[in-house]
Amino acid sequence: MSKIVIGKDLYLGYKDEIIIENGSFSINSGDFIFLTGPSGSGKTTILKHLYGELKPKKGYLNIGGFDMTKISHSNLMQLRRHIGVVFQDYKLIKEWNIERNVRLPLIIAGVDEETQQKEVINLLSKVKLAHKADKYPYELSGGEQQRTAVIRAIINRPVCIFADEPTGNLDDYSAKLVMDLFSFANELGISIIIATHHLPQTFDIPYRHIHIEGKKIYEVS
Amino acid sequence: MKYLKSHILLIFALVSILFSIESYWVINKIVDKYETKIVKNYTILVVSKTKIDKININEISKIEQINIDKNLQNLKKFNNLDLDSIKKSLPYFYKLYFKKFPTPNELKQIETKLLANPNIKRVESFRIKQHQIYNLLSIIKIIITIFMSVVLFISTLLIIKQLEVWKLEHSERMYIMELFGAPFGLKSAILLKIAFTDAFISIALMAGIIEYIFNSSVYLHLINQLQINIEISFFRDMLILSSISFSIAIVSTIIVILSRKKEI
Repeated sequence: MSKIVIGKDLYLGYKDEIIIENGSFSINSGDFIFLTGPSGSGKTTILKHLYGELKPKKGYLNIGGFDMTKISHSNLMQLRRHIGVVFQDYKLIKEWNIERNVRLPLIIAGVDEETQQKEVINLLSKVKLAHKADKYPYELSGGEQQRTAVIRAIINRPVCIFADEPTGNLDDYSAKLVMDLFSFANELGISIIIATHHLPQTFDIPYRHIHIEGKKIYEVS
Repeated sequence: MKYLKSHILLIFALVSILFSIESYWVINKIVDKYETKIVKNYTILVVSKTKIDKININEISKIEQINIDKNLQNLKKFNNLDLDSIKKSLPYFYKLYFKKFPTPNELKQIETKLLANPNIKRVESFRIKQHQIYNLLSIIKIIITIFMSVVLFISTLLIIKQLEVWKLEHSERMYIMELFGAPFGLKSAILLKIAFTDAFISIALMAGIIEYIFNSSVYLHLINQLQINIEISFFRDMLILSSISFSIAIVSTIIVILSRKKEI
C-alpha cells in the first residue's frame, strides 16, 4: 500500500498556540481512519493541516508528494482537487441548488457537462436525493444536507476524504446513512479520515484508530 | 429589489466618478478653447523711445510694430505740418501678443517688467469684456476640480463599503470553492460578472447623460454665446470612461478575492 500522507515530528497549531507536539503518523492508500480525542485535543487542527488551511509550525508533512510546509497556493489548489472534505456544518453553497453543489468538484476538474450530469444523477439516486436535485440547501434536512456534502466529496473520486465530525449534528438514522456512504467511498479505494468524539458502536469494515490526547498522537491497535 | 439593492451602490459610485471626470474634461476643454480664442486677439500697447526687436518676457509670444503712416497721412490736410519731422519725433508703438491669456496679476507683473526698461515710456493694457468671462470660466474650472475631487473621495468610500458587502456575501462561497481547489477565474467568476454588469450599466447610463447634456439647448446656447467651436468625441470619451469603469470593476473584484485569501 502506498503512503499518501507522511507526518514526522510535527508541531501543529495556530499563531501562538501549539496543539500537537512532536506528532508522527501516516495514511496509506485505502485506509479508513477514525481520529478521536476529547474536545480541543487537536482533531480539527490536524485535519486543517491535512487539507492545507494551516501550515505545520515544525516537522515534515508530505501529502501526495507535496511538502505542506512549503506548498504554494497554486500547488495547494492542485492538491485539493484530489482531496474531498466534509464538515459538521456541511458547507454547501447556499445560493446553489443541490445538483450544482454536488457538481462543484467536477466543474473545477473541467469535466464535460454530459459526464457531470450522469455522475450527479447517479450519486443523488444512490442517496435517494435525486428528486431534490433542484432544491436549495435550506430546503433540506440536516441529514440530507450532509449526504449531499459527502457525495460532493466523493464525486470526482479523490485520493482521500477528510471529514470533521460529519455526524456531529445528525440523528442516529442519518448518521448511519452518512457512515454507509463513507464505507461506499472506501470501497471505491478512497482513503477516509474521520475526526469524531467517539468511535461508532457498530462498523463493519476494518479501520485504523488514531487517538489524540495531551498534545500527542497515538495509534490505537 | 434584492438585485437592485446589491447593484445600486456600485452603479451610483461609478456613474458619479464617470460624470465628474467627463465634466472636468468638458469644462477644461471649453476654458482652454475660449482662452485660445481670446488670446489671439488680445494685445497690449507699448510705447518706446527706441526700436524694440525682442522682449525677454516668457509670457510674450510675439511683438509687432504699429505702422503709424496711415494716421500721419490723415494729418496731410493740415498743410503747414512737416510730417517727416513729426514722424521722426514720435516714439515707436508696438503691440505685444501673449502665449496664454494673462490673469490680472500676471498682467500687472508684465507691465512692471516692461516699465523697468528705461526706453519704454508707456504700457497700455486694456480690460476687455472677455476678461470677465474668462475669469468666470476659470472659477468654474476650479470649482469643477474641487467637485471632482470630492466626488472621487465619496465614491471611493462607497466602493469600499460595497467591497465590504461583497466580502460578506461572497466569501463563504469562495471559501468552499477553494476547499475543492477552484482556480482564481472560477472562484471570482460570479463576482466578476456582477462587477462587469454594474460597470456596463454605469457606462450605458453615462452614455445617456452625455447624449442628453451635449444636445441640450442650455449647453448649445452656452457654446454659442462663447463663440467657440468645441468638439466632443462621444466615442473616444465613452471608450476612456468604459476603460475606467471596467478597471474599477476588475480591481474591486481582485481586492475582495485577495482580502479573503489573507483571512485564511
